[in-house]
Amino acid sequence: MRPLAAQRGFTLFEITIGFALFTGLIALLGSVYASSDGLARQCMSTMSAHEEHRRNLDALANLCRAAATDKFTGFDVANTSTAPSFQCVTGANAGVRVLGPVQTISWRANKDKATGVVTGELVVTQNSVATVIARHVRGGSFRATLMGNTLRLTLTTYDAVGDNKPALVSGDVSVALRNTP
Amino acid sequence: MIVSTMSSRPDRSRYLQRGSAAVCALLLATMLGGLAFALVQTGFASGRWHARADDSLQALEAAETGIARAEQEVQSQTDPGGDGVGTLSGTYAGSRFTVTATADANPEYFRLVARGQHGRSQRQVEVCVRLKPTAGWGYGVFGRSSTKIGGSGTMTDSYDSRLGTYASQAVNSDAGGPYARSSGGIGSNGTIQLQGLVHGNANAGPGLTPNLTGGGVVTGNITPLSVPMDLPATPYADFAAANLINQNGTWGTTGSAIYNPVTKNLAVSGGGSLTLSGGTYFFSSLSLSGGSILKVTGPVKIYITQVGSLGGGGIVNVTGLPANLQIFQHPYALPVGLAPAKKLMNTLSVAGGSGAALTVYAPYTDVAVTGGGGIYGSIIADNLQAQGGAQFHYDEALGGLGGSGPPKLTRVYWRDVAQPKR
Repeated sequence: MRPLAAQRGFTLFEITIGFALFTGLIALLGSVYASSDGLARQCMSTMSAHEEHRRNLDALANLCRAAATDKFTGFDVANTSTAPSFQCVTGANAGVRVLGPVQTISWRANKDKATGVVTGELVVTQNSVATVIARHVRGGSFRATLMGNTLRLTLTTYDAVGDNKPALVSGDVSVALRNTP
Repeated sequence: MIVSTMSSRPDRSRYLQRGSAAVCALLLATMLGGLAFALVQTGFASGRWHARADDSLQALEAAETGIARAEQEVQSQTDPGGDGVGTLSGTYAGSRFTVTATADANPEYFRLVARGQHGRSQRQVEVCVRLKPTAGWGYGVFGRSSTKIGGSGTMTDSYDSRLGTYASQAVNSDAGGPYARSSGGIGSNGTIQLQGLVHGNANAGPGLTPNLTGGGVVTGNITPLSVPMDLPATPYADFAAANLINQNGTWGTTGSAIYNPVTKNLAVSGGGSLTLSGGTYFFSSLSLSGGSILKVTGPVKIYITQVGSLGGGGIVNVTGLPANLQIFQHPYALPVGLAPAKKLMNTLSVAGGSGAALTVYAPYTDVAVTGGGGIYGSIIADNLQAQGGAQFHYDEALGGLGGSGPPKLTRVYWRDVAQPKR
């Protein structure tokens, strides 16, 4: 003989309570998941932007380190430029420095999608050929400042993955120029 | 008995319910675990990338450290490791570096290639340096434009004032008579005209050889300089400082002495004397005439902007050390308001003698050595003339004296041979 309790079904009240509890639990879990997911995405986005930013600064520093101090052009009276041109030293002939071609760093727009950000990248143009040197750079954020033998490069990098609220990282790198007159 | 039945036979449906909850929990845990694992992996990947970037920078730093050490070797021309001047290897802050130095066709240039390594990152840097000779004090006399010495008994040699007096070291002898050492060279960035005996080298300017007349003899080499000696004017700041702060007026004089404190012009005549104790003195013109003598009792620096005439009764440096009487001359417009000296007003004459221990640094002033006495120390001039048979005894202790000194190392270029990829 089976126990009565096992045969007995649930009352409507029990089912309603159970369903309500289950729905509340799912909603709670869902919201926790949603906020965790948002936070995780934000963290990833920020981390990605930081990585990209450092990569950009390192690349720019490596590019400019061998530039001849007296071969920088395109700077205003405050020694600041948004499109600096320079020449790197590539060697010497009979004690006279041999200079490479003129290179210009400038910003150009691209088709990235990032809400509220003028998207673009930095390119270095040499002999009319442009090569990307820094990716995901916000428009109007790049500038170079020449102070004696030191070149300071400032820019803001965004994360292109973050579609709603892209992470922005700003910073600068100071490069001690090695080739002084 | 229902109660006893229930306690002796567990409810099977309740077990089933517990099982499904465990499966759900396991699935959820697996999902969360997977997510966490992915995040941790992403974090590690990011960490590895940053570590690589750091390694690259540290490798560059190591390479540059190697370059700095190699430059020290090249400048001092030493080779502690026995592997060639400028070639070395070592470690720095957990990084390794090796530097290879290659001499250029021009002996003044060296190419240094440094490789730095940190972790798995490597950086390679190439630097070209120039070792430019500035050792004007390496000669007994040196004329920026020309050197002309001669007259009966003209002779040069060297001694070391750190080891005692010249007389105590003049133990050698040859056809020219007694002498001390054979590093008393003469030189010029231009021409050399020699009538006399040089115990040392006679190095004229690039492509030139000394004109030996009247039995001129050089015991060393007569190889021309590969490049002109770098002889910069004494900095204006040094003259301006001496003009501002000096010991003028603290001297002792005998005979007739006339001093103008505005123009800083001092003239001693009538067989008198001018005695300077240790300190700095500034003159537009300094004239000792009529057998008057200049006596120095301590370390003295004299700055002259117009005419120096020390050809009276001679110079007596009682300390016996040439470094204790340093004369600098350059036609600066000092004292303020004084017009810069023209060429004919920019001269210095010096008379030798047994106590004439001094150095003269006047690479833009014509210097004449009068008489046949001895000069102990070194003279650097524009056009240097000594036609009275003077004897120049170069003091080897002057090698490290400021104002000239060891060869100057300059960087010609720096380049990143293997720039890291973005």
